[in-house]
Amino acid sequence: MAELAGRAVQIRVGGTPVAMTDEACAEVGGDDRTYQIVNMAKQVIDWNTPVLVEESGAATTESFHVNHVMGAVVFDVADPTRGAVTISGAYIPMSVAAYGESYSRQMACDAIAADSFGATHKKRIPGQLSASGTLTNIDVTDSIYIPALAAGPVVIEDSATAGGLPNRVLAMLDGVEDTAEVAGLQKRTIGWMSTGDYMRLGA
Amino acid sequence: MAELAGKLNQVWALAGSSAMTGATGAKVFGVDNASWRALADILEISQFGDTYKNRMGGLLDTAVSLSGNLDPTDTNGQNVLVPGNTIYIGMYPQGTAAAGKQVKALVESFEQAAEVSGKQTFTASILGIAAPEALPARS
Repeated sequence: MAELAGRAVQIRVGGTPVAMTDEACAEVGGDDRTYQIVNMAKQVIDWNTPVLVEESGAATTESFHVNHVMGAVVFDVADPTRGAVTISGAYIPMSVAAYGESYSRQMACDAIAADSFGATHKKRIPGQLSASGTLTNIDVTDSIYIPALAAGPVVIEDSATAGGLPNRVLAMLDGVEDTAEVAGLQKRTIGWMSTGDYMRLGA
Repeated sequence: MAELAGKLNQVWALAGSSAMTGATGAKVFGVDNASWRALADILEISQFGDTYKNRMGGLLDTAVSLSGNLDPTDTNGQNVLVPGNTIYIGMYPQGTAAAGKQVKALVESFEQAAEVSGKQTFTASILGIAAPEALPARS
């Protein structure tokens, strides 16, 4: 068992996109469909820059979709003989956000009632997935979160320890609350909700 | 009467649609607070002339909530509590030497939280999708 001190949490926020060319990908998940950028520093794919997916050096003709938060291309068809996959486009560098004091992230699934006559106990099936959370900052001048979130969705990444497996979400600003107590620090709490895919590799 | 100390309780889980036996499933580590709620929809059937409300029972339900210390290394315990997953979740109120109860369930939410001066914690909400079953004791 490995209890973790709260102070070990690392929060990272996406910055300005940087061009990338022919980033190597590796198949993940064992489905022969999903190929993720190997370089973790370049895994967050900018959604505003066209993505070029190549197989063995040539533009792919297969159907696929891009998971920008995971940094992966997911082909519609499984193919264990597929050639080397690379991705070109732009990545979003993640940098550590300072002054964080507390953090929460909730990942949830809609539970859709599926009851029918004759049942004695409630039955449910999984619906859509979503995430929400909060960040509390002791820097109320906040030059990081508010401008980024006000400009549109931003990637927020958290890991239980610095350098640990990350969880990433594309977040939309939900609300901002500033608080002050005469005997304490002024704090700013930012609420967010996810849009689109999220990735859970860590806790 | 046999009062039971809270520390005796254990929470066990198994991913998938097969019930736990005395040899399958894994303890969920880090849990320090757990609740198992057996519920029933209460339907009001009062009618004109009734002085007191009349009710009848509707669908039965189970709701489980867990919270405790986050453990990212708990591969078969905390890490199966993924929203959208179907799992079997069970409790042994008297430890594993005595039978407990389990239910096939849908993981509704998993929340992770941390404060700089505290410890990393988790909270999970799990909803039953079938009738509860016995959870065999483990030797």
